[in-house]
Amino acid sequence: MNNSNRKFLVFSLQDSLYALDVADVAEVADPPQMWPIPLAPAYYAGVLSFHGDIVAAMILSRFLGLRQQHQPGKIVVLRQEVASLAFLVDSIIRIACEEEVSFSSPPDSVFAQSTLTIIEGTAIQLDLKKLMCALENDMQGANQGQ
Amino acid sequence: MRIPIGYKFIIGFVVVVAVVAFSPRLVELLGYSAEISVILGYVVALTIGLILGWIFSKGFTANFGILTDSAESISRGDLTRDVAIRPSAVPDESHELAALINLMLQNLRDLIRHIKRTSGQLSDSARELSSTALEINASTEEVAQAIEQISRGAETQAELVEKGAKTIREMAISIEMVATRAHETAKTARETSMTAQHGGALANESLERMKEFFAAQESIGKQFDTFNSKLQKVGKVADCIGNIARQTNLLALNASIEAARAGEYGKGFAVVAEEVRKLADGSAQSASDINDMIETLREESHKVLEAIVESSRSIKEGKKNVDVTATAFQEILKTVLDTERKASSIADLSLMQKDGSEKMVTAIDEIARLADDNAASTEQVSAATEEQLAAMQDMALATKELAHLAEELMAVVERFQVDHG
Repeated sequence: MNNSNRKFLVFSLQDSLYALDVADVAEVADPPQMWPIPLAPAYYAGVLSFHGDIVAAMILSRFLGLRQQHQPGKIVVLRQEVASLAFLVDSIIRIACEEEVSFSSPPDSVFAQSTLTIIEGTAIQLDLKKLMCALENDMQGANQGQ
Repeated sequence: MRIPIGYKFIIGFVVVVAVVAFSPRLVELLGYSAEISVILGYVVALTIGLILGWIFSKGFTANFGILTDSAESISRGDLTRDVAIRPSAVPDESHELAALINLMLQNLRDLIRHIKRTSGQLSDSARELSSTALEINASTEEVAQAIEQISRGAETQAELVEKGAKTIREMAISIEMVATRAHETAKTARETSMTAQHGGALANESLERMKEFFAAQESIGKQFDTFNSKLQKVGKVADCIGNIARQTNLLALNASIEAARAGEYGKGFAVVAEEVRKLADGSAQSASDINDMIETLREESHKVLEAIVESSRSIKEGKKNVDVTATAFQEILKTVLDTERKASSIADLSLMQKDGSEKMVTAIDEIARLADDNAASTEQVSAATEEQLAAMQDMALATKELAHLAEELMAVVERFQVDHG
């Protein structure tokens, strides 16, 4: 994929903005019906059916340790190639083109890949790889615990 | 056979003369000497003449003696005995005299009896009259005192009547003033009545206006309900538009994501998707604006409705007051009409009173004049009573004298005895 055409999906969690590379995103939708996952960590809202595929829905704010103030307004489904995962976020801001974004070094955060500065403010681009690793670690830890 | 005394005297004289004349001849028949016969004739003639004369005189004087005794006893006042003369074969004037004296005695007895009875009655009557005169005297004194009091009372009455007349004249003036005031009051009451009627009409008109207002307010309320339901429908449409816009936005986002994934080939599609997203955003914004406006409109209309409800509440309170005012005007009207009627009645009555008081003034003047006359008459009566009292005292004295005279008459008449024993 050509980097010069990179786009970012900017969304909000509580009072902060976060961003994901559009290439990792399959779809944005309203939260559909979800079924709870037994014995799963608390940040999992449940599983949902995404065009026939079973996708786990994660309450991203809870996972990132943010104080949850609002009910999640939208769901961001990641591409199947990245993970069978969907993030429950507060709201979608917009899709920002790379031309209108200025990058800066990421803050001192575990899942931050970079910091994007756009008109609406600064958004933290999430590092999905680290996030997945953390999830896997959590799952492994949970399995070991069991 | 009645022979008058004169004839009896003549007959006796004739008998005596005849005896005297014939006695010498009878003596001569005896045969005595002439001288003796003459002497004896004279003696016999004289003796026979004396005896006959004594017999005749005794016969004549006996009745007169009885008559004399009777006259004497009558002169002493003894009327009990009748004159009792021996009956004679040949009655004369003495018998007639005795019969007449007896008749006189009988008449005298009747007269004396009548006088006695009458004088007794007179005495009793005089005594009764005297006591009655004394009583009348006492009564007359009381009457005199009473009349004196009446006289004084009449003077006082005259003064009081004068005062009364003055008071009634003043009262008449007051009544006239009352009549004027009552007339004015009636006029004022009439004016007040008209004002109250006008006020009542205005209050009723206000009530009608209020009813119209309430009807209009009800209509406005219904219109507001319709307006709100329509706003709600508009809101629903706006929500629907907003939802569609949101969905469109999502679709545009997803289209953008798809376009991005398509890379260079999806560029044009990305532009379209972006434009669609902007349109969706605009639609969403418009829908949101519409919702905001609807909310604002709803709030404003709610405020207006509340204001109207508040106004209607105030107006309801006002209506109550106007109701009370209308009722009060009705009451005022009723009272004022009553007052007008009463004031008119008072005015009429005052006029009647005025006439009456004028008549009363005339009457009281007449009474005053009569009271003056009465006072004068009472003084005259008082004087007359004094005179009457004096006359009654005189009469009492006269009746005393009359009683005294009756007693004296009784004493005089008592000397005559008319009954035996």
